[in-house]
Amino acid sequence: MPAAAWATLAVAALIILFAAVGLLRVILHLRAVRRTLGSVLGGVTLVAERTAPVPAALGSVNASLKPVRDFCETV
Amino acid sequence: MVLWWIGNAVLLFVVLPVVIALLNRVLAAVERIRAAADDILAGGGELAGRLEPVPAALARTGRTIDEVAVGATRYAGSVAKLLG
Repeated sequence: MPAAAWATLAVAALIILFAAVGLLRVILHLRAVRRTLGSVLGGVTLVAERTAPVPAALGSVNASLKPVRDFCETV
Repeated sequence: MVLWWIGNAVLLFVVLPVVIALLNRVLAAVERIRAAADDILAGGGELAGRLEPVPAALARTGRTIDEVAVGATRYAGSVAKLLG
């Protein structure tokens, strides 16, 4: 096999090596991002659970304060 | 043979740097995404922690408002009688 063929093989191997290492790093980063986003999803669900009673509580507060407001408007 | 060596040189001095540059750009973007995701997770954790007392606080607010409404209604009745 001529020397040029060996050189082609070497350069191709170099390119493949760089591409493989880079893509492997991308894969690792993306897996970490996926884990993080899973945790974020759990946190958002927790926030939604903790703020779920807000609309009902605000409605109740407004209903309780309505007689007070009506009275204040008559004074 | 000369053309083959020229092709090898192109591979080595053009294609390889282009591949490395593109991979670097992709890696930089992914690293920014990862940092942003980590920041979002930290902020979300802090937010969830601060929202922990919200249900109890809302319940206490509801009770307080009920008491205020009862007192105000009594007061209104008394004032209405006085104003006759």
